[in-house]
Amino acid sequence: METRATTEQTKSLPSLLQRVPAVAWVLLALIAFFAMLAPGFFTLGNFLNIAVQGSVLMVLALAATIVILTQGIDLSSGAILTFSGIIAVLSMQAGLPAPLAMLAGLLTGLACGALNGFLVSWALLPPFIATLGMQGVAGGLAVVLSRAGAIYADAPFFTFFGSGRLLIIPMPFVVAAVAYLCTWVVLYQTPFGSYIFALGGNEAGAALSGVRTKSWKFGVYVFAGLLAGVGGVVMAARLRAADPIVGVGWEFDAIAATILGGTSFEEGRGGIAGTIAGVALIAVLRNGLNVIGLATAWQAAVIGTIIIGAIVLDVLLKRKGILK
Amino acid sequence: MQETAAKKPAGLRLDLSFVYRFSRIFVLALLVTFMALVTPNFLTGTNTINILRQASLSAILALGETIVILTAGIDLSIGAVLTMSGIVGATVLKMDGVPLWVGVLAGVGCGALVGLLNGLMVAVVRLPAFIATYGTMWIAQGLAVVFLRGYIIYDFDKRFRFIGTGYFLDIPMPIIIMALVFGVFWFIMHKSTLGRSLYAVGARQETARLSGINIQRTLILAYTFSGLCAGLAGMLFVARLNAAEAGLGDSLLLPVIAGVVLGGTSLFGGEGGISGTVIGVIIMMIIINGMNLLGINSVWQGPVQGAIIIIAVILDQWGRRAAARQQVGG
Repeated sequence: METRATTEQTKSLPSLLQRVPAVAWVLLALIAFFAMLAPGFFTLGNFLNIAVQGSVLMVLALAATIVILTQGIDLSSGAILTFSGIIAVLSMQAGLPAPLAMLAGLLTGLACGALNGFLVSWALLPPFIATLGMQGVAGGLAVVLSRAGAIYADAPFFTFFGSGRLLIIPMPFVVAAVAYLCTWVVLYQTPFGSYIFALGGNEAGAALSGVRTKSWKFGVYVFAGLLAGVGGVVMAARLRAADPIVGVGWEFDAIAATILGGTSFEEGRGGIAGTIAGVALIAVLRNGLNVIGLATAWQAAVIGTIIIGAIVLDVLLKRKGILK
Repeated sequence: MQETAAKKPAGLRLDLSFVYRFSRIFVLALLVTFMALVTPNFLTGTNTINILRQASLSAILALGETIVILTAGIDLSIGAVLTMSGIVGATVLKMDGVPLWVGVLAGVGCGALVGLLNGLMVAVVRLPAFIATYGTMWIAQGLAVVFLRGYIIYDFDKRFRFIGTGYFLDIPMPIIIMALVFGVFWFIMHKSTLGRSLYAVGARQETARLSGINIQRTLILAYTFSGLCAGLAGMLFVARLNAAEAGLGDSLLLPVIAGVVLGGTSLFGGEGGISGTVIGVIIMMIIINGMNLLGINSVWQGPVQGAIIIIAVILDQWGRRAAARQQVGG
């Protein structure tokens, strides 16, 4: 009996290795690579740094993941992040108490998400167009309201969420963890979560079996908008300022983290656990390239190439059955 | 006999598909009338030439975008590809002893190459178009910054600048080049099998495949053409500004897509065409130009363009559905 068990185990070792997502291998390779190249990389301080830098991206990537699970896409999350931060800071400058101002920021994200959801669910716009338009609207309004420059706020309650610590854990990380927990509960413990997977797997089938697909899809974009608002407020708290271009391009990182984390565009497959690895990959990449001193000019091109290269490789290897 | 009696007299019925088809010309006419009434400078010769010259650059981009959208795809990289091609072309133009046409060819070729890459990712790897082209958008933008190394490349040969600022028979060169590009596209769309294939692939990919159309080849060509157009527009842009910088194509993506949509090409593929796109782009340029003439701060361009895209798609779908319903109904 024992021998049989062992042979079965040895047999299944390769398939066990197959089951480790590619992103985990790439992540380990990257960490080893940067650790060898730069002595400052593999330190506790720097890992804390990466965690803080990755926190806002994590919140945004959670939003991207639930939207992509429904076979949608949100190209506006970076712009909503920017816009929400601007509204929060402007509200504080207008004399609103910090908690209320932050709430205003969150509500801004929620409202933008609701508009996205309306356009996708009831106006029947393709998600990439609805959210591309929203990117223009929210990003543009951020520029209009901030008069195209950075605006500042430093209420202690507000900045605590950016640079404060809970015990020893940095607040942005705490916020990301809470956001993860909430998303996890929604996705795996509520009917809403099952509908999200149903929308991505077979929307027509879900509709035929009586699921109110339009309302749930609307809900997905509202939730995604709210998360983008959370990201925007935390980002502004960290910088003690809101800047009209701070979120430019973040939606790409969030989408990339989702896809690298194994969530598929095709059939509502995947989930938020993989997205953590995707976010870690991008955060390590950005931090590592900084630490080894790659010129800033090169970073955008290199990171874009690595991300797209990884996505292409992932798709091709999966199709050939080399990866699961 | 009974049948004919049942039909309403044709003259009294408002033919919705007719209205839908010509709605963009109504919009254009309304817009021109409105602008002419509120701003005295609008209908002047200089401003009209200005709008058309501006529109011709965007229209070249939009023609490429149109054939991609006809295949039910999207090319989000055109603005960044324009920037990168313009900078690559400008760098080559500045090299000693290199003939001008090599520089132009380098820019256009660079655009086509990025377009080919997009096409391969969409057709062969089968990535969703908005992911593939969004990725190349950030890569192309990043590479443009790398190429520039923080400088601005400026001051080019007069003969090169002619394509951006010169006149031929009193017509600005960009307009002539745009007309030539339109001619080539018209030929492709109406006289070649590629044109039919583009529509077929966009309308019903499975049917297209069964009827023997090479889908991969069609898609790759569509994206390559789009990149090539972006490259050409990039070179024209550099010739006109007499400078190449990293923000060259920044604010072009939204108006170009808005122009295509206003021109009646369906984002779901297979419907629309290049003639509508030219009208759509001119509408977009009049709006942008009009906002300037009316003294509206340019920071409002972003929100307005975003809203126009959304409203245009909603109206277009609504008009299309209404026309289709009427046809089915009788």
